[in-house]
Order: sequence, then C-alpha cells, then structure tokens
Amino acid sequence: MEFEKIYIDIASKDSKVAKRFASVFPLDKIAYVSHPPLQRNQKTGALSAEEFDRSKRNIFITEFKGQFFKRCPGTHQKMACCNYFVLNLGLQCNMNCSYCYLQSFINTPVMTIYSNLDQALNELDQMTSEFKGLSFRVGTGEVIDSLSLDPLTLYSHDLIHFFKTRPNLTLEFKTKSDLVDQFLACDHAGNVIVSWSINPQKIITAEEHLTASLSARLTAAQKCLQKKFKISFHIDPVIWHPEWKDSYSDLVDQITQNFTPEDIPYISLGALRFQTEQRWIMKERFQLTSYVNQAELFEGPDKKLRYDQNLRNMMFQFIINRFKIKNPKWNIFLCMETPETWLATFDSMPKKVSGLEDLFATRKSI
Amino acid sequence: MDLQLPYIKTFKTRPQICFKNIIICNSDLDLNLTIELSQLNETLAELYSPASMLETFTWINFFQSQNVELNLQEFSAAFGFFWNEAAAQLYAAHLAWPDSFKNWVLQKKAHINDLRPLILVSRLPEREKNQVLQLLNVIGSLNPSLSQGKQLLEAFIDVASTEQNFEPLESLILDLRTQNKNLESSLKKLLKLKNPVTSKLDGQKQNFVNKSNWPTAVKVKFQRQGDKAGFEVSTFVTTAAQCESLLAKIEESFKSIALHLKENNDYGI
Repeated sequence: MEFEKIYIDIASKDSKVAKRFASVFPLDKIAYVSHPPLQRNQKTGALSAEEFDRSKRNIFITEFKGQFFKRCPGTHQKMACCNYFVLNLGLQCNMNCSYCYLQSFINTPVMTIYSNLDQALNELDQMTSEFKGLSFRVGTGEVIDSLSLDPLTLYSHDLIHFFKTRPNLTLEFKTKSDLVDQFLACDHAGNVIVSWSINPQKIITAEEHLTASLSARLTAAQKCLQKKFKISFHIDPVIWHPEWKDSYSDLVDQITQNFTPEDIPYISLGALRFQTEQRWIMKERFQLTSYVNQAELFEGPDKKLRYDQNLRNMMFQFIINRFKIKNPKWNIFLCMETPETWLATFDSMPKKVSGLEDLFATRKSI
Repeated sequence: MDLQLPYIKTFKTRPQICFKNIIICNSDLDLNLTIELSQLNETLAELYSPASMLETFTWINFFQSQNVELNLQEFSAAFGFFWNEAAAQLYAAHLAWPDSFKNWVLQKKAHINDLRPLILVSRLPEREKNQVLQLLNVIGSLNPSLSQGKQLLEAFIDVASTEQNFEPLESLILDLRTQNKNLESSLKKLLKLKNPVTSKLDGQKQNFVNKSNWPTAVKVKFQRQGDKAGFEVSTFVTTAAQCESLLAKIEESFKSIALHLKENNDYGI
C-alpha cells in the first residue's frame, strides 16, 4: 500500500515515531498539522467504501487521549473467551482483508498511529501493580496489525524491552505480514509471542489482499522460533469454500510438517463472522462473487453474521481432527465462539479442555 | 406529487418564490419574489428543511437541470441532510429509479442506509440490473412497509449478485406482479436462493424429522433460529404409564434422527 500523506500532529512532532516517519518519507509527503486531518462531519455516518479505502492511504501520527488497555472484544457474556487484553498502538490497517471488522468499526478518515507508547506502558505498569501476582496476556493486533508497519514505527523494540523486565506479562504480536527481521535481534525474556493469523493460500489470494503469502508467514514464524520467540497461529477466520476440506487439510499439513506442538503452545480457530451492517461495505469494496460476499450467513446470538452452527462445528472438528491425527498434543481452542459450539466441538467448555485450563482461567478480580 | 418539480408547498404567510420563472413555492399572498442564487441554500432551507433523502435528491436534480452549480455538501446540509460518497452514489443510482419506487421512498422517508444495497446495482450485469429495476417497480406498486421493502431489496440484490439465479428471479418478479402479493413468501423464496446449501440441508432435515415415527401425542416443529436449525418436540403427559411409553417411542425417533444428522451434513468437499 502506498501512502499518500503522513500527517504529524504538531504536539507529537518530537516523538520517536514521528521523527522516524519524517526521516523515512520524502518531505512532500509529510504535513505537520494542529488538528486531525481530512475531518468529516460525524453526522455523515459510517465511512463510505471510498473513504475507507482512502483512510488506509493516509497516516496521522498523534497522541492517544483515552485509556490504552481494553479487554478483548470477545469478552461478551454469550461467548466463551480467553482473558486477553488489548493494547491499541493505532487504528486502521495497511492491508486489505475483505472480511475485516474494521469496516464496521472505524469512522475516522485516516490511519492513526499513536505517538505516546510510553503512556501505554505506564498504564500497564499501574495495572500490573494493582493486580500483583496475576499474569496478563497483552495483544497489540486488535485494531491495527502488530507488525505490518513495525519496520517504520519500531514499536516492537520498545515493547520487547519493556516486557523483558516483567516476566509475569506476556506480549502477543498478531500479524498477517512477514515483517519480523527488525526485532529478531532484540533481547527478550521468552514472554513474547509472535502470532500469525493464517489461512490456506487460496483464501489469502481471494480475501486477504496485500498480506504476506502463507509460505512467507510460515517462514517468518520459523525465523522467530529460531530466535526463541514463542509463536502461535490463529486459523481465523475459517472460510467455507467448495474445496474447504482440501484447503484446510493442506494448511494443517504445512503447519505440522514445519512445526511441532512444542513449538506452538496454542492454535486458535475461529469462523467467519462480522457485524450485520458490515456486509454492504464489503460488497461495495470487494468482488460480489468472493467467498465472503457469497457466504451463507445467519445472525448469531451476538448479532454477528455467522455460518450455520452445524457447519462451524463441522469445519472446526475437521481441522482439529486433522491436527490430532498428526499429533494428539496439539492444543487448539476456539476464538469468539458460543458455548454450544464449544460443546459440539470439544464436548466440553474451554476451562475443562485439557491443555487450555490456564489460558481460560478466570481473572476474577479484574 | 410531481417529482420533476419537487414537492411544492403552498404557504399562507410567505410570498410566491420563483427560480428562472419556475415556481419553487406557492403562496396565498399576492407577492412574488425571485431567489438570488447566493441565497439559494438559505431560502430553500427556510422553506423545506428538514428534507428527506429523496426530497434532497430531487432538489439537487432540479437545480442541476437548471445548470446551477451546487456545493452539494452545503446544499444538502441546509436541508439537514449530510452528503457523503454513499449519498453521491445513491444519487447517481436514483436517476434510474422508476417513479413508483421514488414515491415509495418519499412516502417512507427512506434514508441512505435503508437503500444502501442499491449502490451495488451499477456493478451488476445488465440483465440483473434490469431485474432490480423491475423489482423497484413492484415495490412501488405493492407499497410494503419500509422494513419489508428493505428486506426484499437486500435479499433480491444479494441473490442477483450471484449472477446464477436469473430465471428464479424472473419468475419471482412475475409472481409478485401477477399473483402472489404476499411478500413474506417471496422473502422466503429469496432466502432459499441466497442460502442454497443450508436451505437444502434444512429441507432434508425437516423432511426426515417430520417423517420420523413420532407418537401421536407428540408435536414436532422444525425451525431455524438465526445460525441454528433444529426441531422442537412438545407433548402433554398426565400419567406415569404415558411417560414411560412416550419416552421409549421418542428415544427411537431421536436415535434415527441422530444417525441421519451424522450422515447428512454435506457442506461439500
């Protein structure tokens, strides 16, 4: 993705990240601004398809003025979820997945990168001192890819350095890129997980535009493993297509041929899901005949569109069985799924599935 | 209501206002004024704000046909309507809508989000595009509620965008035009076309469940509830003997259904 303009909030111009962008991009692409750029009347509603596309091509570096730490949006009373905290380092993504939930989430006309990472880390320190003894998993890839802009921001360096002295915390980068070289040399405490959202190459080609290929993602994972970073895979969203069994078998085979269950503590599975209102912008922005736009979806208990529950169970069971046939030690859990699907897939709730107890342990005091 | 000269109102306390000799608003007063172009937005806003989406579109179309250069954002904002790119696309699309549908949109005060699927029509092949226009005519003539009309539009455009359902859609339109004015049954047909694999499986399950050997005291109803499809079994029992007898019979039916469900979940390989 080529950026049209880098807007730097004057208040952030002395931040490390702003200085890096200013040194990397030509002068004519940089603009120092005292107000958010490309502002639009909020009453005009959600971004149109064109506005959303444009927002990916314009970066705004500014301070985040709210609370950095939020619980993972999977924490919905009707979903079984895995105690995960989200640290937003920005908003919007420079890749372009057809199913991306940001399409119904974002109403700002630019991609934002927050310049005050130090404040986020202070918040994290406060939170951990308040809940001493508890372990936290902190992910940075919820509303922006953790690594696709990291060669520019180098936030991975600051984060890995911070987590190095806090072994009760776990940092998780989540990405669809293969951009890991910039932090491989960083010294770490073994509490950094680099995770990839992965799918069969057929789905990547059709639905995950501007992302790294499957083989590039797996190669990047190997590089991280060699440097003793923990790695993880999220097979999410699983997308039905006529040859889904072949595609997902092949994906599982590629993982199991290149990695062992010891290399990868957990693999998560999730099926295609998005807010009902998102489907029109998806259709406006992508091929009407894409797998995602032609999917047979129904409204689930969380008001998101999902595949029929039977189909989800079937796809999950198929993928899990394929892993377990290769090696029963693979730990696999479901992401943002209903208790019914957990029961149908594992015959048990997550806290009782062998290997997942710790991951889903309730943090009662938080 | 004349859609070429949009919704002219008659005011009792204001003068008649003309634009290029075309009456913009009528008056019971014996006074005539001409709109200054520089005051166009303010004058119209004073007379007509807030305006619905279609009313705003109609005014824009009218002034553009008079070669007036409009700042669409400012002009729309004066009517209390916010112009964005979706509005621009829908405006372009609305020029092809049949009058009967425009009247329906006007009457229901439909907003951009209600009609957003119509933005996609320009990307459909010509024959599917024509089908959608025929549907708009049908909606205009059947005059459903906004909610029903939206559901019909969304499902129809969803199905039309697969480009594989031309003939079923033709017969659906014909049916709506000539015989079946029941939108509910048309919606059900559209949902079947939109979700062919799930609908087929639901149908098979429903048939099997209905044909299973249920005791006469048991009522069975197959239904889809959002992302789940299943069947509800109900009965009314008064004695222990009835309980025992029913349990044994129901168990048999459940076993055969469980076997059927295991063997018939063909979502493709």
